[in-house]
Amino acid sequence: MSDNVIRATGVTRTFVTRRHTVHALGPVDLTVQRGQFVAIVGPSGCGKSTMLRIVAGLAAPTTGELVIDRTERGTPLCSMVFQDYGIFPWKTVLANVRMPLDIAGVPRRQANATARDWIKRAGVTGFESAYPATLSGGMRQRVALARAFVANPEILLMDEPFAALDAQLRLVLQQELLRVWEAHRRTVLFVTHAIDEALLLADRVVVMSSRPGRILDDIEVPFARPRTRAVRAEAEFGALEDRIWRLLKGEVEEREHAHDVA
Amino acid sequence: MTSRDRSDGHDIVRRTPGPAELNPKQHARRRRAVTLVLAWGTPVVLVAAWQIAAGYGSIDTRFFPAPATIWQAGVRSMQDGVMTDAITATVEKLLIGYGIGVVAGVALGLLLGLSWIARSALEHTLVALYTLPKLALFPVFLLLFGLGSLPQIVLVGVTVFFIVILATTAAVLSVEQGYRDAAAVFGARRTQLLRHVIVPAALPAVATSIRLTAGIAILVIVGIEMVSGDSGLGYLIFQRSQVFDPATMYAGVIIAGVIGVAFTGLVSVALKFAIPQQRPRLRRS
Repeated sequence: MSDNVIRATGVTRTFVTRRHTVHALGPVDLTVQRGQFVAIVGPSGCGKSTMLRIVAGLAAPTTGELVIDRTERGTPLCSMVFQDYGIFPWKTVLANVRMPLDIAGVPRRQANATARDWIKRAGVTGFESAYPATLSGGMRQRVALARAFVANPEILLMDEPFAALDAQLRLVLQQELLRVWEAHRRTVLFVTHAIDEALLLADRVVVMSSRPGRILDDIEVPFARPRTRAVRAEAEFGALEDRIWRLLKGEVEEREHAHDVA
Repeated sequence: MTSRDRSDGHDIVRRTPGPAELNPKQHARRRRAVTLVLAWGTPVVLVAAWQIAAGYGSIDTRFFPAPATIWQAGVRSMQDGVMTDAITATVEKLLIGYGIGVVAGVALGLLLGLSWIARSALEHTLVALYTLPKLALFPVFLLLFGLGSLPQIVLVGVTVFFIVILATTAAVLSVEQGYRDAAAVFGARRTQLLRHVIVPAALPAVATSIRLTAGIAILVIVGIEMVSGDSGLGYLIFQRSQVFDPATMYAGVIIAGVIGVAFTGLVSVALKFAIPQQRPRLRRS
């Protein structure tokens, strides 16, 4: 198995402002296999979002290199689900979901059909002509998911997509994501700070340190697919959760302490 | 509704449904009726009081002719074409000047908002020019564009342009980075970014400047007509006051007011339809 889509070597990112320099990320070495669902967990501000932005091409690495090996041409390289600001308030649900296809220049009739199809799969049927302002937070994230999948991208990036939702809605949408992804597998990089979410969804969990983010551990998640909420009840789930928490605990506490001193 | 009563030393506070809760439909209907009557009643009462005061001679009708007299003067000036010519001239100058100002302001504002090179080159100069009183430049416009309507149109256009361009630039710059990213991730090119994100995101703020400048444009055109040229409502109002025809003067003032309200109202409605997320819908399908 050497079919790697993403290969990052020595990637770092440094933010320079007028006053000071912040070393946000890395160096990070990471390879992601095609079709793998990889979750990245880490404390707040550890640069996990920055890592996603580098993959998406929204930011460049300060040093190092990130190589993406694409097999398909014609489909977009990446799509991304954001925590917020993802979907546009000035577009209807249908127009929001259709946007990647519009940008790719897909004929309107075909684009509408594909978009409606994904709206159905994401469970938002009936709201095609509604504007996001009239939707609940959960519905909006469903729209964002539909839009991310519709373009059929090589790599799907998700930046804490469920962080702004309440706990119950989160469970529902995790389930939905599992269902949709297991039916339409593709490479996913999923950033979260919820350990259980990472274990539930991913094939592999990458644990990052606090700033500057480095990879502390890289864990294969052994649970069989298709998965349901029931895996949470397995003993190994608890064991893995505990193992990741032990790693992160030190990082988080250290950070808190640094805050106290400062 | 809250009521209180006192019985053997206890103070009882009772919260119960009031008229708004017991019969909400009737309550709302009554509220609307009262609002309507009061809104229309106030001006009617004021005009009636003016008419009566003029009739009893308690105000000087040489300066403040009765509303009926103003109405007659207005009708007469409409019939002999003086007023209609003035209206046509003012509206024409207004529409051309305002239209050019808005279009140029929005177009260049987008350019300035999108291109840091254009911004570096022009922004400070534009801000400096913006603070310059445009009226003080009017003599220059007269020299450049002659004595007719053209310098007045230019003055309206320039006034509108500066407000709209600065508002548009600011609106484009304040579009959330997250929205730009969301389009960029899907590989949007510059023109696509403009169409799918920048223009619709900036539109509400741009619309506010377009709405505000509609009123300002009317102030400027009527004002400048008073001091320059020989056409339009401003000219008519000023000239009638000089020849001691206050009735026609007031008629002109009132018509200028009506045009102002109608124009800003039309612009507001048009803008409402231009903003998708605020577009009024008669019924959701």
